[in-house]
Amino acid sequence: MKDGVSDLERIVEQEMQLLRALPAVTPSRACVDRVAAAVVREAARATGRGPRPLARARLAISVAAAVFLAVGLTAVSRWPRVVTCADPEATLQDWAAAWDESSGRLARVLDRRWAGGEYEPTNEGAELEELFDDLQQSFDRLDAL
Amino acid sequence: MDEAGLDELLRRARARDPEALTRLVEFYSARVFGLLYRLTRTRDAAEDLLQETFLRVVRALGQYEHVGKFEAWLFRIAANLARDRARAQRRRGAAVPAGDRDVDEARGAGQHAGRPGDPEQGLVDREQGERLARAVARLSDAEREIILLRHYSELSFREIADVLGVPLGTALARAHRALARLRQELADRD
Repeated sequence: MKDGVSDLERIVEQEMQLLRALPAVTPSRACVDRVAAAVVREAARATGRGPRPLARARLAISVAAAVFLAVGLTAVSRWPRVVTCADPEATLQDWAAAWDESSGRLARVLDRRWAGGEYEPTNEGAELEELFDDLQQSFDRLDAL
Repeated sequence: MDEAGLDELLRRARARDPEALTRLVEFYSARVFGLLYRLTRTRDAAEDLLQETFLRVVRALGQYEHVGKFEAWLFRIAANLARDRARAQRRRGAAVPAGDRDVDEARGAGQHAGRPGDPEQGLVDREQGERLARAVARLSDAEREIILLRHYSELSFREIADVLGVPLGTALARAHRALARLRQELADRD
């Protein structure tokens, strides 16, 4: 089979001599110059814009990354906040106790300031500030619950 | 051009060196044009497709790996373009250009195989060449394509079979049939 193909190839190669009589046709000089100029122009254009498939891939990757980032951020912002609380009941009771204490202290300070109790003007600012800090911490803890 | 010279030329052409690209066009344009002219049978179409062939080469040269023969790649592009054009013409119902007119046209631009200094022999050769060209034009597209690829590309039949995507045996049988038909045509008209 292989020998048969080789023989046929040899015969056909010999027969191909017939085509030597085929008149040669050549492009005009102007045509060759035009083609060469077009090719050089195309190469220069390709250099200017970089390899097209690579540029396309870069654009696709950028768009995909932007979409992924936007979708990811939206999803994360919509996730319910996870509260890690070992014993919610006890925490709530602690908070309620702290709230009572803060409220009591606030009431005492206000009584002293405006209801004519034992009043020490030098300590008033610091005590109030400490009180508001405690209140702020209480609300933070409540918010965390 | 030897293989090392072609490698170097292709390396520079891949780097989009204008001089290398121009040399590549000048080196191959006659053979590619010859194939395209014989396949399309008009000078205008052959010139258009010659330019398109080289534009495709330069666009893809970055991705081309010089593992096989550059000629195989180049002539595959040219043959595919000619085939696409013939297909498009058939779809449009356009008439295939008459071979005779184009052979006459080629006479002005072409060179003939006549021996210099022997006008009588030159005349005989020219006449025989024109008859042969007319006979080639009458072959089927597939038969014409295979023998013209062999003639112009100088690839082996094995490489041409790869270019056309057919088994070697099919390529050889097709070429053998085409050549037998040419011989018959030439004998009938003697």
